[in-house]
Amino acid sequence: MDPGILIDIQHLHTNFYLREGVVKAVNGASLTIAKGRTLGVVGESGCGKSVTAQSILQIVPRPGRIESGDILLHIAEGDLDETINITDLNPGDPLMRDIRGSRISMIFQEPMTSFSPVHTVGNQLEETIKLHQPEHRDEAPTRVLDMLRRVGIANPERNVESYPHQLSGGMRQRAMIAMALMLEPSLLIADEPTTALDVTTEAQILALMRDMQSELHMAIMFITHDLGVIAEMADDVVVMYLGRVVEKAPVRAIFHSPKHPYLQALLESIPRIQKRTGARLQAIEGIVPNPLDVPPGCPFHLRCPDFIPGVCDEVVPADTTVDEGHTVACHLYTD
Amino acid sequence: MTVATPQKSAETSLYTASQWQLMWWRFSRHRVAVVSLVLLVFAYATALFAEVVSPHDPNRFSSSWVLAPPMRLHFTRDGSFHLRPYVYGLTSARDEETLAMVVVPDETQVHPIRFWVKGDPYTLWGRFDSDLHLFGIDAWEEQPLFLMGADDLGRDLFSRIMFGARISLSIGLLGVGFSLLFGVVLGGISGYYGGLVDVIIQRIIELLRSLPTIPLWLTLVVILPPHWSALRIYFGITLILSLIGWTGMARVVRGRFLALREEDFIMAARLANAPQMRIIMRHMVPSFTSHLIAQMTLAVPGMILGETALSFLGLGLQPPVVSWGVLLQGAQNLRSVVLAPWLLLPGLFVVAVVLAFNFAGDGLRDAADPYAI
Amino acid sequence: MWKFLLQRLLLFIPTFLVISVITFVLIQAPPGDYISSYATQLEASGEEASEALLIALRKRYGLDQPVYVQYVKWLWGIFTRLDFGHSMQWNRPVGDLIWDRLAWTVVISFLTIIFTWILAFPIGIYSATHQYSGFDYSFTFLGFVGAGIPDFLLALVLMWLGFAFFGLDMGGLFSEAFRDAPWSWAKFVDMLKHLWVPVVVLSVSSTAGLIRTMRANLLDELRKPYVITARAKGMTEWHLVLKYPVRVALNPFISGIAYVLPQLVSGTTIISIVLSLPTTGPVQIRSLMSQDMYLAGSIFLLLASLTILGTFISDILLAVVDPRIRLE
Repeated sequence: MDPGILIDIQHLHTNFYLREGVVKAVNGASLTIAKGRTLGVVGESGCGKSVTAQSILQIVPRPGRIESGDILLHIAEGDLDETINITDLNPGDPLMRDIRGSRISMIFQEPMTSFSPVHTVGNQLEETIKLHQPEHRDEAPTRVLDMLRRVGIANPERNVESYPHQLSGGMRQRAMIAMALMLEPSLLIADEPTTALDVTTEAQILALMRDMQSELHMAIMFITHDLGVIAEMADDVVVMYLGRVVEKAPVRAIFHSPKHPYLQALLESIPRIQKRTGARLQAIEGIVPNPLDVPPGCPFHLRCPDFIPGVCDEVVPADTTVDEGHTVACHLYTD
Repeated sequence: MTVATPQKSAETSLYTASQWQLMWWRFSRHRVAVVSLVLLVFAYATALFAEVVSPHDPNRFSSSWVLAPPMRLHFTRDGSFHLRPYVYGLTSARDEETLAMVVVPDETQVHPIRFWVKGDPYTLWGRFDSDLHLFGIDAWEEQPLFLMGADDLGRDLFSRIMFGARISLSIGLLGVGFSLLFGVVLGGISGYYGGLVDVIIQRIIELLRSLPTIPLWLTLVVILPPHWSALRIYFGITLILSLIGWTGMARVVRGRFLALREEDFIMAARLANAPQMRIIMRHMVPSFTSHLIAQMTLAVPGMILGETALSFLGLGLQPPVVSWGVLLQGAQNLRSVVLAPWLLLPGLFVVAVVLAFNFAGDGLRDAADPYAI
Repeated sequence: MWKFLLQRLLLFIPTFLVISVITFVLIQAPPGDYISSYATQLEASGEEASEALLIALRKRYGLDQPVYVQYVKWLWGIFTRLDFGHSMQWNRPVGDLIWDRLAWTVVISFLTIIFTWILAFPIGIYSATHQYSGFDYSFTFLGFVGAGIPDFLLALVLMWLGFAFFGLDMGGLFSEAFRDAPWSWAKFVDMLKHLWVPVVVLSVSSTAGLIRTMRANLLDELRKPYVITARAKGMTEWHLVLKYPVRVALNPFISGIAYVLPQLVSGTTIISIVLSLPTTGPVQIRSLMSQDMYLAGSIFLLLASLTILGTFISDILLAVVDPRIRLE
């Protein structure tokens, strides 16, 4: 495995077994997360980006289950150099619990509901230390205060005693980040961390995440549906549609030479200030198909302007490399 | 691909179905709830036709049949099976241990059970005179049919349970009707106007709910003048029972009103300048009727149990009125229960009906919001 | 926190007054009074009830005074001397007649709540964390059945089964030998042997209710994002469930006391008749029938105060466990 790679996901399938049928939330996705870099994951709601993240931590909620595929986690620390396949582990496996919160941690969209309402912020932050480093439990309160200070929470001595509902939205998300970074993980998964915040707070939180990243040299998996945030945060980008990765590229290539018709349409639908005044804003035709009834072939063919009959609706396109580090899964680019 | 592919037509019908159709589909998935609903319809139909269904007049008494045990239905005679069941007649005998007179089956008398036999004359619904009973035995005059035994006056318990059903089941519905009336009016006022009115009504509800019901009912029941007719007492008790019942209803109505007030579609209607009455009747009421129906179904058992408890204590309905609670009065002391355990049978009917209402209500509550996942 | 408690406490006083007024009005409402029902009784037994005697009796019990004077006197006696008036039927102070019985009502209700909690808590948690398992289904079903059986019927059936199959008399709180004996260890043990019957009978329906509450609350809480957060932190499933969602689901469970207590007091009243228990139930019914107004009124007032006190206690507990309420 390339030593620069932290996480390597290969052909991941995660299904939800509902009464109405099986939803293939992640349907053969492959992606890699490089050490110390930020991978942006974009897609509409329901495209499987959150489930991919949950699969990495093995916290897919019931009735969901990882069906097949590999999630390789590369651990290199001093003498230690090993690769763990997360999908080989049980969700309840002690090793898996060890990874959660210490090597990989996660922050969520709703900082209010992501904290328990009846425990103090301090209690919930200290818990991470108590769980993973019980031998250091005495230092927990000071380390929590220190971390709260680092994420820019004013008056940490008082706020550590507060309950989540007493903090503002931005403060809660800062506390959430503090909790996730407590043990200096090598990967921080951020599942739409700023969607619930207003624009100014969003900018502050994004800046904080970048600062913490350069301080702690961690990788970030940044999940969002907001291409603007991607442009600001990501080094590499993965575009998902209906449980599949349709395009992977460095962030510049994503915006300068988008290949997949879906990504092109997505970029067309963003309003821009300088460009083409007077023109109508483009929307993507149609709707995302019923996830219980995914069409055969390319998942996007029903809405695709470049649909090739007999090909797109029959064969699932394979990844094609179009440039250095730029792949696309589309029949337009296969030879 | 193993993905279940819904039929195109099924899918369209799902999207075009009305709210009530969706509710019914959802409800019919609860098999226990559907069975319960069928059972309830059957029980109410039986109560409606109590005169026809019961083989005897509920007040026909005889000292010869005091505490006669239930008759067993037999299907085999001389080793062969008969579709038409028969029962043995009864005779008095002396218990060899206690030396008391008891009623025992007499295997020499065989009475086949027939449909539509003549029996005690009755007037159905105060209108139709007849003496035809759904089933019974030919020799009914000398030998009554005791499917569930006889009480301490030698009256047929089965017939009495059928007539008791009429009172007990109707008190449930009527009580819920009263509760609905108070609940919708007061809950609606509370939720729609808010402010001080809301606070006062909420305080009253809180107070009523924190009082122990049976002691409260007992205290209230004593107020009913003893010289009142049975019908007035019946209404009085129903009103007393709904005094607590309306609070639950009011909570649902108020809660829905408050929630709906914030909904976008109500705001849209308001912006479209719809008159207030139209907003209430056209937009708000239909969206909580289903919840109300579920709540009503779940409130019936409380009424039935309340009447049963009061009558059982001797402070509710009084004989000669027959209700399941009144019938259970006969089983109040241990001695009579030990002597004649079948006196507890009315209790079985109470439990069955209450369970059926609870299951059906639970199914309805789940179905009440067909758009939820 | 203290402000909240004080607020609740201050609310208790007007509530008590309102209930006392309602009680008095209700007790006064039936036509006639104790003296008239006493007169009917005398006449029924063939004795002459002279007008003069009746007037004298009315005067003695203060029944000739206006209703509001009677009410104020009664309330004044309660507040100043804890004197609940005089029972005309028993010709004794009401207090003498009911304190013992009230104590038994409280003991039985309290034990039932404890028992109910011990049962409902683990079963509710297990049902929610193992939703749709066989265990969950059977307890959901049992819960329905439990909620559908009237407690007095259950008591009757238990009594009958105990007698018919084991020759046991399950009624009362003491065996014949201990009924009037002074308190001793043996008497205590004898009491426990009897006490479980009402406790079990009463807890059937409330346990059913609480299991459903616990299960539903916990199911709601288990879907909340903070559970995922805790899981993402690397907690074990049991540690996580007990520390977070159970803790949050505890709130409705605690506020449940407020409605379980009236239900229990209510249930105690009726099963006491069946099981012949020395609680307030049998006395209340007799006093209501004979229009022994101070006795009937005081019992109702005390029972109502008891359940309202229960609401108060559950409010305090709720404030203790839920910072959102405490810090409001």
